[in-house]
Amino acid sequence: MFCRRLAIVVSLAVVGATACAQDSGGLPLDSTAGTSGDESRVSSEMGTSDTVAELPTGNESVAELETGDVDDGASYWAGFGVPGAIEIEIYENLARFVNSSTVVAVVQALGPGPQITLHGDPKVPEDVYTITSLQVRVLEVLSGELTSGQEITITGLRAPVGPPSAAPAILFLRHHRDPRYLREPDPSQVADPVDRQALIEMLEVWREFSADKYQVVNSQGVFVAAGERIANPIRHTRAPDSLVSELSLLSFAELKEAIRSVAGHPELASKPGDFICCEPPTEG
Amino acid sequence: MSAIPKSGRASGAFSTTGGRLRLVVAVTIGVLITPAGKVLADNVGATPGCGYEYGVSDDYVPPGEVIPVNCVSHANNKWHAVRPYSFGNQWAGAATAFQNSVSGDYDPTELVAYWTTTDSLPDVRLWDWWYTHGVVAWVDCPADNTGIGYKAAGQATTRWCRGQIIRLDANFAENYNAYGRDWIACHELSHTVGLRHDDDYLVSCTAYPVGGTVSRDLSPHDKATIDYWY
Repeated sequence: MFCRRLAIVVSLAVVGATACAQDSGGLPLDSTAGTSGDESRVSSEMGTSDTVAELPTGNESVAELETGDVDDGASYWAGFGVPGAIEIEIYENLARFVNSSTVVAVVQALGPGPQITLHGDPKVPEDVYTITSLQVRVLEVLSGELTSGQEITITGLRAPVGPPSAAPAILFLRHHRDPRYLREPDPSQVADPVDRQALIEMLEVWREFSADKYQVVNSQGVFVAAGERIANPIRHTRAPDSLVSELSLLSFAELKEAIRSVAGHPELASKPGDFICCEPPTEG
Repeated sequence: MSAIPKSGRASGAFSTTGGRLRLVVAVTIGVLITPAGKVLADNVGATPGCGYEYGVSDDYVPPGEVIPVNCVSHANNKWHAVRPYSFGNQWAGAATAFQNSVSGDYDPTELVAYWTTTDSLPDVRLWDWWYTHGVVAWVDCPADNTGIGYKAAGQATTRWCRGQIIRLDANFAENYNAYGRDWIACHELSHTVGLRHDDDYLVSCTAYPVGGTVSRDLSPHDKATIDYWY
């Protein structure tokens, strides 16, 4: 029912089926400008990125890099705290997922990037949390605008432990300044002056930290690959997820092709529950 | 504290085509028989890699095990104190939802679950803020916990933690109505008493929504599991 798999994906890409209503995906939100404030509630530090013995140069083909162990890769990426608790949206349709992402790319981890420690509620002094980041090299762009060989930084709640896995990963990413996902509160709407000032200060630092960084869209958005096997190391195994279940049956090459086939075709994403979306147009 | 009747609360009626089949399968295989002969949900057990130990004991997480954003821990005993800290002023309605869940979902079990604003060593601390990193709500057993132990020696899944923290990101407040807040409260509190995610979304708040629907109540199996442990 869900799965029409790769043959349909490819054919849809060629035909450019238009039977489905357009679905923009995402949640357009207003951004609000902050004002200056001291940074006493915020600290940041740089992580190290020189812990890898053999980093890819960016010139390797993905095929050359598909030699990592998928289990090691899954363990490594599982340590990256991408959204994974209660999430605002879980996708049931690949076309919608792809076209709701700022970029979908094959990457290889380079190592930890900068991290920042933020304070939450000013009335709860112990409410302190850290946002980590991971630096990756883009090996192949499947959707969106990035360049192979480019190095980007991805934020998360935790950083992977140990040396980066050699296994490449397909990441569904959103840029922190993608207007579809720029979810920031408006300090002027905060009645409490202490909370308002704390929020202004936090947003100022947060904007500076996140301006050039990406975030994995959700817990569905990491697929580690090695040869014919792929794995999604983040998604909760007990959370019903028809999309990840079906995608996990594909080979790495098939998954990349499926993503490419729907990239730029948001009109293919309108039927909840469909794997790739959509039924070929019927006559009459 | 008296329990709040929930006779008017119903699980969502929407389901996908495969929902009922999934439900039957879940009910059929989603149970464990304890040595005492009780039938329990299998969505139970403390998770590895929680905040307090992350980076401290790298080899604690078994190979292939997912390090969760949600940290599941048992409670140390049957008295389960839930304390809001400046909670609900960023996410309107959250405090009411959690208070109702404490008294309506958890206190009727063998737990003595209660809402407190004075307990200096609560089992669960509730915080809300604009956390900005994309997660709506999550639980952690943080480094400043007020106690950790194990209900059974040598069994990591029986770890308990006092001073767990539930965080809500107020950026997402507008995405949830009263029903959604009830679900979040029941769901996150379940992680503080040792319940993991279930796939039985029609009857258990520990599940995720499917087709926009998920129960906002504990399932009979969830309650039996809580009763067994506490």
